[in-house]
Amino acid sequence: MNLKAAINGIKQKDETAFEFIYNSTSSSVYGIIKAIIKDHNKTEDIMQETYIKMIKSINSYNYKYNFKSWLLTIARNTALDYYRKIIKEEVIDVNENEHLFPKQKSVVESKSLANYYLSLLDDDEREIVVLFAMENFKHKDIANIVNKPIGTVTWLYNKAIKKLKEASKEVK
Amino acid sequence: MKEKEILKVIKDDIFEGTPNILSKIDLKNIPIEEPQTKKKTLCNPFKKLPVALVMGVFVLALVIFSIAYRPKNTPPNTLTKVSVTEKDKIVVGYAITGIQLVGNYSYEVQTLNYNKQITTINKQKEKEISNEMIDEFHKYFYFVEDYLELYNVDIEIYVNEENDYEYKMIVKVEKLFNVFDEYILYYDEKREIDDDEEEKEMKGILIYQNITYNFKSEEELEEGESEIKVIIYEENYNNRVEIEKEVEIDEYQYEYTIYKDNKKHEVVELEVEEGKIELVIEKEDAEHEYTITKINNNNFLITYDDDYIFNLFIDLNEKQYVYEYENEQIIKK
Repeated sequence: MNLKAAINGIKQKDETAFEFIYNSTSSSVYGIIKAIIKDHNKTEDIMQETYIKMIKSINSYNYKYNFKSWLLTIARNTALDYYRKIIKEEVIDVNENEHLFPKQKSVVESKSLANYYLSLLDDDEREIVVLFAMENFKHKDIANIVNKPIGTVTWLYNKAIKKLKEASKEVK
Repeated sequence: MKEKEILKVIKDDIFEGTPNILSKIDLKNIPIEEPQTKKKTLCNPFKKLPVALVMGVFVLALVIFSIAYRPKNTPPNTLTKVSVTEKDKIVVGYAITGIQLVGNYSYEVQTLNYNKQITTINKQKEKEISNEMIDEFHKYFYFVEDYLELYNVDIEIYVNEENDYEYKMIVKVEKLFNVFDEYILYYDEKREIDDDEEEKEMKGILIYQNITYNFKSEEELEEGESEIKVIIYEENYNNRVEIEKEVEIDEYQYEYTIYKDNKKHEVVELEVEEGKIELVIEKEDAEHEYTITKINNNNFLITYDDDYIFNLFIDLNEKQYVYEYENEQIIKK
């Protein structure tokens, strides 16, 4: 099955088609949401919400555009809406989310090197690095998803990679 | 650790950590919203204007490059044809692209449907979308022809005695399929030469098919590199076309921007680097990208937004462009 057929399949409520789309995109969707929310449990909820929104609005998807970019834009907007909402309603417990982005080197060895790397980045940088890592998008595709100029995306990406390269020396 | 390795660590970790929530999504019970139809404006007074304007811009660029690259200290003389240097070849495509733009509104579109039995709604939708893509690509293919230098251009420059402008230039273009066109420009020019750098400004009018356009240009030329900016408009400066082009060794890039009511209306970029030709069209908040692979002088493979692939064959005998995708063929003349 190809992507186009799968999109048409979703319109016909074809479970196999949806599974194909899900398997092709879930890691990237998870990655971008996690980069914003930093809470594993909430990330699952927002993933679910993202896919529901995608299905509901599948008829508005235009084949001329990159499907993954479209889906990841939905994921990002859903995550940002959630993030803005909880910022208004409650104070985020940083320690509670520490397992996702551990900042101590000692934790890195037992947990995740990737999470340590991502914890070193600013929010904007993290989103861009995750999108680049997951889909190898071009900077202009990422610029469309994160709604920033290409120059800004390139600058943020280079800044982030510089930080990560430095960090990788320490980890060694 | 190298950049790729770092990205791989991040990717692998996210991949491993991705929860499986597939079972939590009940596809059957999620209502799918009806598509929202967006009506297009039937009357767009600017629709025709940019075509002519852009055409003019390209011709101007042609002129500017030809003058800039002609041997220094060779002033235009009455009835003396200016010799075309090797570097003038860079300019050839500009005229091609401009004229081709005009052609966009006159080509005949003929769709040969090889499979008359296509009846499903989905298939019809697919066909419509593909036609749309190819229509758009064809409208801008002259940019690629420009880069590939598929047109012939002949330029003559004279000291002008017909009006107040200093020079008169006649540009004759032979485009694909032996079609000819002609432009006349009257202009003044100001040139400053400093060591290896040269700056020049041109200002005047361009006449094509009895329509007069205003233009002005600024360019900087250095050894092996050139930058050019041209602005052209018919009457209202707010409805103008700006073109910027950079040529460096092993790199070729330009973009033109159409302004409507002083706001960006459409941007087209062509970039060629390491043999890869990318054509990007930005309009109505959308961006479309075509990557063109040249198989030979007449055959091209085009990838659209990384998802769709179609072929183009330039049929010189039948004088037509033949686009093929899936089991369909579209012919444009």
